Amino acid sequence: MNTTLKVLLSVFFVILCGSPIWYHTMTVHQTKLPTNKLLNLSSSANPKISIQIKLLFDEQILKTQNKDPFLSKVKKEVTKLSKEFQQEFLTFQINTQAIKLKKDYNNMNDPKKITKFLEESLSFHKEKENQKEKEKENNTEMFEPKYTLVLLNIPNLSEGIYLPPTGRLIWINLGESTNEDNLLNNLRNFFPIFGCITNTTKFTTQTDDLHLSFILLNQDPRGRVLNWEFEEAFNYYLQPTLEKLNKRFSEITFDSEMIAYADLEHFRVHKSNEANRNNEKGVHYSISKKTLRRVIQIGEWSSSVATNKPVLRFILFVPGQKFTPLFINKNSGKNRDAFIVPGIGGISIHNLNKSETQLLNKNDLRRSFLVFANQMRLFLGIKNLEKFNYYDPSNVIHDIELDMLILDTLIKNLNEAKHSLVSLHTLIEELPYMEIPEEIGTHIQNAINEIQFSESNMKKKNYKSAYFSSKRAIEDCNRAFFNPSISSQLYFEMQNRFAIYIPIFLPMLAPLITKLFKQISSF
Amino acid sequence: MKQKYFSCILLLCILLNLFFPTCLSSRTSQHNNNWAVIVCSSRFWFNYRHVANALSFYHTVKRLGIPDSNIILMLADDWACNARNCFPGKIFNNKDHNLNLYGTNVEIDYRGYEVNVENFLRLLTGRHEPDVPRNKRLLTDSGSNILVYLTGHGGNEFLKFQDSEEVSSKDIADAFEQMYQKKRYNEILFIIETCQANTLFNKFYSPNIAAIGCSELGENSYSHHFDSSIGVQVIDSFTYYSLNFLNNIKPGDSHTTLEKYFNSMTPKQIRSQPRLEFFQFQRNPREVLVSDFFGSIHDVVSHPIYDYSFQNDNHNQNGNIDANGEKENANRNDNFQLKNQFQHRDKAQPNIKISNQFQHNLEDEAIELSDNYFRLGMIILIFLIFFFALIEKIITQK
Repeated sequence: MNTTLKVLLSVFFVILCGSPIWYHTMTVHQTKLPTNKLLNLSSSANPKISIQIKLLFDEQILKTQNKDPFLSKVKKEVTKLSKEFQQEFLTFQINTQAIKLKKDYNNMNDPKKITKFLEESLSFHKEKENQKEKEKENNTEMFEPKYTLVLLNIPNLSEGIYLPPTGRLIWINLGESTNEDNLLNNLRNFFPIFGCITNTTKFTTQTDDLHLSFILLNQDPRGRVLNWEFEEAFNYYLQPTLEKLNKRFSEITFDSEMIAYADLEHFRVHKSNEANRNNEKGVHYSISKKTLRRVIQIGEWSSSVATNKPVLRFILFVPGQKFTPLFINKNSGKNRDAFIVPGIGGISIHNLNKSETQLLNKNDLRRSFLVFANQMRLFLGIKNLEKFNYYDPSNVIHDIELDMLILDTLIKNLNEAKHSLVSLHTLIEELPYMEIPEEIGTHIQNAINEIQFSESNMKKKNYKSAYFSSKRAIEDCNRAFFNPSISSQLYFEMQNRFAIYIPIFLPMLAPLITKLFKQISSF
Repeated sequence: MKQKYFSCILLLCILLNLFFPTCLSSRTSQHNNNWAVIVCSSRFWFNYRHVANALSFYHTVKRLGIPDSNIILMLADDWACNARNCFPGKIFNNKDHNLNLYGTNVEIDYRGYEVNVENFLRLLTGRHEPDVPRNKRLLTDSGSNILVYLTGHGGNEFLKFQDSEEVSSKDIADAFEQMYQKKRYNEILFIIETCQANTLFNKFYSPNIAAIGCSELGENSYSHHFDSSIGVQVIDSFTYYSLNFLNNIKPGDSHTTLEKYFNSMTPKQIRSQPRLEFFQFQRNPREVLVSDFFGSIHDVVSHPIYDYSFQNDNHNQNGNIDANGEKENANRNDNFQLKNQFQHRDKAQPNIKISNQFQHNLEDEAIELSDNYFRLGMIILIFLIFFFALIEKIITQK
């Protein structure tokens, strides 16, 4: 064997050994994904949430009726109603019972006292203490959608449904009329509370974490420099609600800001001498809803907060002295001074009286913070329902409303998480040459685990854990979906790689191959 | 008799004017914020008109109310400070130099080589590296209406970036689909001004997208006029006539429809065939307003105030939110179909194409014909040059 042949053979031997190594370096690392689990999970239905309602009748109501037939009839009707209001993810279990209340409460006319009386009569205090003990043992706050609905007749109080701010005891006052029709009407008015979450005015975000920005916007500082006792007012009017939300629902942070001068380019008002909202005569200014749509320009009404969370703004707008008092004209002629701009926030107009000082204290801010509380409810998607009496200013969001918010969000989170996983799986299948790092695989696996954990907790009726698991599932899904390495521009099909390497290797190999053939043929 | 006839017609017109507005269906969109992505993908001095196009649209959307925080402006080169610019620091879109587009209040988010296909697609899909600042992110949500305007050089289903890479219609379509999957838009208006622009939205399959292109397959997009003092074309025809129309729109306009805007430009004017297409639009396409995308009009919902303090006079203070806030959009389906979403889905509504009604007239055909004659002439000329050079060589050899 001559030297040329030896050289050629050794070169081809190196190429032969090196080719698998080269091919191995060309393959894209794709971490194994739990595809079967993912697809099974996405096609499975969410477990249903069972709401238990204990319907209690005061025996005094039943004095005018035959007890047993009446109770059974009401039970049938209530079951019908519950099926009517039943949603895809909610089922109701209703128990009806007649009770004898000890004290004569008919003469009471203060809802707070009536609530306290009912809690004592029905041993709610004991239940609360037991619950607190359980929570201490488990080191967690319990959340069970079990509600007690008590039907009373108190002639001195207005008819309707009374929602205490805390606790899951609700009572309905039938007023003077205790007949069957009135009772069923009131029950019919009660059930919508389980669908009190609406998407229409909800501040939509990918997660439920929000940042609230409270802004004092002084249109014209000439002659006055405004200030406000924000901390005192916030601590009194809104802090309890935010604490409740932070504990049970989501992480909400806030800040406050004062804007000393607002250059509102499109600000146009209409001067009027007609009576204003307080039926006071005198010159006042109004701005129509149509004009408001142009006036609200997000750049002019923004705060300077820098956060990665979605920002919800609550603006206390103090119009300039030239335009005070200022109201918003509604078509029917009634003036209002507050409105919301979906996606941006809420605005309350504060017309500064001549008697008010330039420092707005807690009492001056009462009405505005009440407005903000109302607006916060709207942005969380909580509807104000007819026939419901909300009577405690210290709690803006009632426990049952918060329960419904949590449950609604839980179901939405699970649906969203499953949908995201399926979308991601489809996207990955469409790009077979895309690298899938371990990180994405880990997030997907975590998301699947959280979804399964959430669903199992729902079956065990541990809805709080289920809710927080669903939140974590969404976060993991988003981390996987928005991973920067998922970009089709970075990866090429195999034929592209051959197209890159052939111009390099082919000119080198061509003379080697021809020489080899010549050597072999010479033998 | 004639007078009676005319008075009847007049009365009928008055009555129609009184009643007709109330018969119109609601035109409101479900969006609550507006964003704009404006991209100039060309570089080099002779593409000056592309940056003028982009900045013209930038100033238009700003004037109509979209703040800088909601605008992503991508300019692939720096024409204002180009050594060839005899008006340093200034960019004009008109030979009269009425308006300097490159003033002190222009915020460019992506400049120079940052304007590339990868960054553009990352912007749309939201897949950024963790260190990318907020001003370079498209922080939209399910209530966002987005205007996406692209200008540059393009071809059959592609758009050129930086004279070195291309983005295809499928890439953009997939990016929009991923935005739809993560509910990152309410509606998109996609405007493309390149050669063969209409081909770039051939592959769209996500819902609630309106697309306007300025030229069909095989057609070029032409500039409008040349500025001898700058030495280049300063604006394209499509942008020129768009601005003619949009400059008459005031902030807060709630009557001008997108179709009207589209019909304001004729093929005769822009010398190519524009197209407006709606992809599974949930609203009536003929009621889509220009201000739904170009401006920032926010829906305002007034609401009663619930005074939570109890009053002894049994006053029940319940009430409801106004009609604007209460109506749920019945078309909107929040229950997602957990199936393969990337394939062409069954379309609930057909795509609606609106081509300009004006026919090609003789002058348009003449332009097309003259282009072909010019090309043929150039080929013949080159052939003749080679032929004569060959003959000369043969003669000298002899």
